[in-house]
Amino acid sequence: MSPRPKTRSSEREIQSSDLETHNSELQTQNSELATRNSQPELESPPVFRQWAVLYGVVLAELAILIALFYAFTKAFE
Amino acid sequence: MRTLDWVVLGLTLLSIVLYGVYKGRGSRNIRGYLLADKQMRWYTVALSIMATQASAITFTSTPGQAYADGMRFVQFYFGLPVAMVILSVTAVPIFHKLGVYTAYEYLEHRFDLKTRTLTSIIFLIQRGLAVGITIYAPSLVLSVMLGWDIRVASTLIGGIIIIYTTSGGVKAVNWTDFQQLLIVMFGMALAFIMTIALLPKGVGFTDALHVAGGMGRLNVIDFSFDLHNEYNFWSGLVGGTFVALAYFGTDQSQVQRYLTGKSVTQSRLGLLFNGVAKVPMQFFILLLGAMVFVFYQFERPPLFFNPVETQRVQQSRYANDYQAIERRYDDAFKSKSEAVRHYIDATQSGDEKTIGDARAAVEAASKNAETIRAEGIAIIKQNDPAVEASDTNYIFLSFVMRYLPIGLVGLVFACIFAASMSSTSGELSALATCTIVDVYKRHIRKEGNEKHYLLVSRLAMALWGVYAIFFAQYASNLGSLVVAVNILGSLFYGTMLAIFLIAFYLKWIGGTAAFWAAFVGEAVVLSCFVFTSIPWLWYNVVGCLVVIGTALLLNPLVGAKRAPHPTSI
Repeated sequence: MSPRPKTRSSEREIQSSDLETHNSELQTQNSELATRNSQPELESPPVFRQWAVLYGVVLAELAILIALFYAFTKAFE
Repeated sequence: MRTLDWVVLGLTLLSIVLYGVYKGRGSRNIRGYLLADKQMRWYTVALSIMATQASAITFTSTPGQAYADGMRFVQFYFGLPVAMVILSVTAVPIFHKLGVYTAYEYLEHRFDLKTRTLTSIIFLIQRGLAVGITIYAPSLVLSVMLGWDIRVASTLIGGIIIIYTTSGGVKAVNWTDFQQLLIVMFGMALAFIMTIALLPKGVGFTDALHVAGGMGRLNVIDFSFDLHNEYNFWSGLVGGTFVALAYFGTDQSQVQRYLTGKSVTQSRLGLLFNGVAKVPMQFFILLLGAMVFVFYQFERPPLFFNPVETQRVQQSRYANDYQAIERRYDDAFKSKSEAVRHYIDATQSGDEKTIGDARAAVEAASKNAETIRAEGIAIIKQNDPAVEASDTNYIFLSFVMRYLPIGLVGLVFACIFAASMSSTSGELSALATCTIVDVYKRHIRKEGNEKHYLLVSRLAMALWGVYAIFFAQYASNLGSLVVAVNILGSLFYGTMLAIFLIAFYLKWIGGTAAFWAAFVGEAVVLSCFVFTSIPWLWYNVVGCLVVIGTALLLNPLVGAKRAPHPTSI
């Protein structure tokens, strides 16, 4: 009368083996990715010393354009 | 088109193909073919990004959009610079660090295989449909030029593009994009100068702006918040940010452009340049359309801008009715033209009352002309109910054909072909990359040599092109092309964006919750499209929020099983 526990145990073994296979696949993929990776350069942007300043310039240009467009719309409305 | 135009067109296209083949030589493996060996500098990345987005649709349909509806469409692009900054901070370093071929490859490492595959398939469906419209646009040019049926033209032009794209690779695509955008901007700048030069004597650029503004075509900014108004500041900034985040962050046709950057810096600079240049570029193209509108206040425009349909109705049993409407339209145009001249005089006088009266007269004359035009279109529809009532796509091309000088006509057509080639080649290469990397290589044949994958990539590109041609056959019923492409994207982008936002920022949510939430989000967006009148720009917001909300609710129920992450984000 012990087939049930055996089945459960073998199910667990199968699941555990699946997980190991899955993890091993993922490890292989990760190592492939690591090989593919070139070190991402963390250089400063040209002209500005920090990326945050350059981002600010891009957003400031948008704000200026919106203001100019508004003035343009009103001027010729 | 005269001989010189054909020579200019032929030489420009030949130079593009030769330049692409020359620059694209040497791709012997899948990394070179699909990622250009990650050797691109920022300026190539930047112009390639812009060229891929600004397809022939941009140059055929956008000026027509300004002619018919004013310049308010530019607000749609206000979210783009914001999105460029967000993507530069988040997506670019992650994609570079992982060294992925596709954006969806990252999702497998963050979630699981099913989420990667689902997102990739959504992209393949959405972009596969959109590429059909991209092929359709230059076919439209050809049909106008030669009087061909648009379906014959789309098959022909699509076939030519397939041959060109399959022989190139991403390196060729990026370099030709670079060259093509320069040609396009040069051609459009010349067209703009000529349009101003063609204005009647005594009507200067400032007068033209007053006329366009007075007739509602310089409505660039609208700060009113109205959910049923498609283009206003708020829908542009909020909806536009979502669209741009989704398009540039999750659409492989754009991700592939900056994945080819030599480094994080080069890719970031490419995106940020786009953020700086895109809004002024769209403003300029729309202003060109507004100037064409002013030109047609002094030169009688066609009653209907589609020459093929006009000819058909003129040869039909409705010919006499249509001719009668043409005569009434002649008279209405003369009255309107006179009213516009009075309006210019009034604006120069500076007297508010005179200006107000003159403007009211212009509005009345304009309304009368529009009513007669609507009657003409109704007759065209009576003649063939399947005819698309919107002629927005034909307005600019019709102007180019009739009024621009010899040589420049050929150059403008070359620009439109070049723009179409750049977008289509980018889209086909992205479709082929996803098909091979996310589907074929991951599910069908995991072990294969480089030669095999290279061959299959070229084959995938050709097959997607054939599929796109079939879709292009039906694009003539989709209204304004530029809007059709964006609506199509908005049906899927919100869902895709949400999956990536969950991946980047909601780290406790697992793949299963994200996967099922995507289905719920897509169902809600499609329901909005079919059953509601919510403007399409909001679909992205709705889709994105529904997917994120559903994933948050589902996650505790389905468990947050996560694959080990290869990198910290």
